[in-house]
Amino acid sequence: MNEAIGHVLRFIGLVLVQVLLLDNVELGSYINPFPYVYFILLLPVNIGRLPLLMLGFALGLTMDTFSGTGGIHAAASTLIAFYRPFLLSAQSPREGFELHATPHVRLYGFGWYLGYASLLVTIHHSVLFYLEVFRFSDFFHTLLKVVLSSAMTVGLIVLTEMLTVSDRRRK
Amino acid sequence: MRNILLFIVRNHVFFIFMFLESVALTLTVQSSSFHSSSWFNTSNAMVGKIYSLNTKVTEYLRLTSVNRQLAAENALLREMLRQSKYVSSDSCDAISVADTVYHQKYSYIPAKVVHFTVNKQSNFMTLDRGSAQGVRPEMAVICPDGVVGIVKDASENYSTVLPILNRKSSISARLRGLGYFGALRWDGRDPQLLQLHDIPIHVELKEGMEVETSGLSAMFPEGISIGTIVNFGQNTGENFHEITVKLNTDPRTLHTVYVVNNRMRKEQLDLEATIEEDE
Repeated sequence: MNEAIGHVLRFIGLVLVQVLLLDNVELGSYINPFPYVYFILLLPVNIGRLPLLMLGFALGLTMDTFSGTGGIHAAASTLIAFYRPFLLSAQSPREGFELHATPHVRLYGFGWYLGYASLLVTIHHSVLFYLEVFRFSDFFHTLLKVVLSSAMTVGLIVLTEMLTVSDRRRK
Repeated sequence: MRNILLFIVRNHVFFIFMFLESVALTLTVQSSSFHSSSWFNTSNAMVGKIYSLNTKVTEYLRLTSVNRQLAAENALLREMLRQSKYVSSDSCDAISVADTVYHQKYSYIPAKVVHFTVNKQSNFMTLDRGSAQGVRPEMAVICPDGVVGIVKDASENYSTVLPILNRKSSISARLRGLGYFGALRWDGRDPQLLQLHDIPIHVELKEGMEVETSGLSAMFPEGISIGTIVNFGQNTGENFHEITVKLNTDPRTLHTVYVVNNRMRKEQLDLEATIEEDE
């Protein structure tokens, strides 16, 4: 039950940080990070595929409502919510995931986490930015934007991981 | 039949995924049209509340520049006052008449920007005035030294604006003094630079030429300065200049704007509609 409240608070917190803080920060026209996807990365490993999908869609739609972008965040978030279980089973550690485990840096190692986060974030940002421009004529301009923004988002997420979960090792 | 049902049940997650994606894409495509009044946008009351709360906090940080802007505008308005006009001696005894020649054509509704992004392809803006204050879709929005955009949706107390910094936006602009007009659009890159299209190649241009509103769209009043030409060129085989226009204002510092109500717009549009019917 406590877990659930934690997730709800994290949902609200990440959306607010994104729309009130990060959407107002300008780092040049190429860097446009969206670390709100951290919410999806942090859901428990054994969450059902259906709830995961619904949460991804809800998160994206909330972002779209705030940024007036139709459904591009919803499309991107739903896609990575759908893909995450496949990624996790392909990347699972030899002894398998613990029950109720959440994917964290300290639990499965830095390299593992970096791969997990960058893959999901890059997929999300690619869908988001290409849907946003809605044309392929600026292909490389958008590609550069995807690469730089994803790097920034992953950096922010890993930094947050390092700062917040140092005490989870005991688990 | 049973097999098909089993197949669907076994893969229900995939089908729900496809369903959610199609909902998302439908919303995306819908938001491209000018008049989508979808529930999921920022004229939504809850979203508007959160953004205006945020503005309440952050507006203190910008007071210096806002004061400077307002003072400049006050000075301009003062110049227009009757007291500040010089009356030459031979017209002192002119009889004053009730002025029925000039009717008010445009009225202005001041509004505060509660949310504005400039770093996206489809930027948009939220104002703290809505239909209760007289804001209607398709009204123009201007700022003290330039144009801002066109009202897209209005809820009771908030409205969303399609700013010129949006790839779907296009407004009619002309070269001051020359009268040639074209469409002013944004290519989605630098929020200070816009592109003026459809100016024929035989027009002689100079850097620093002023670009103003043409008044042809029945939304913007005529002759509002938008910016200056910083760069122009020509694509081979085309009959039009490629002109880059630098805005007078930095859109990132916008705070107070005016929604323009053209009181004769309906009359003009009704009249123009009869032509289309005839054709």
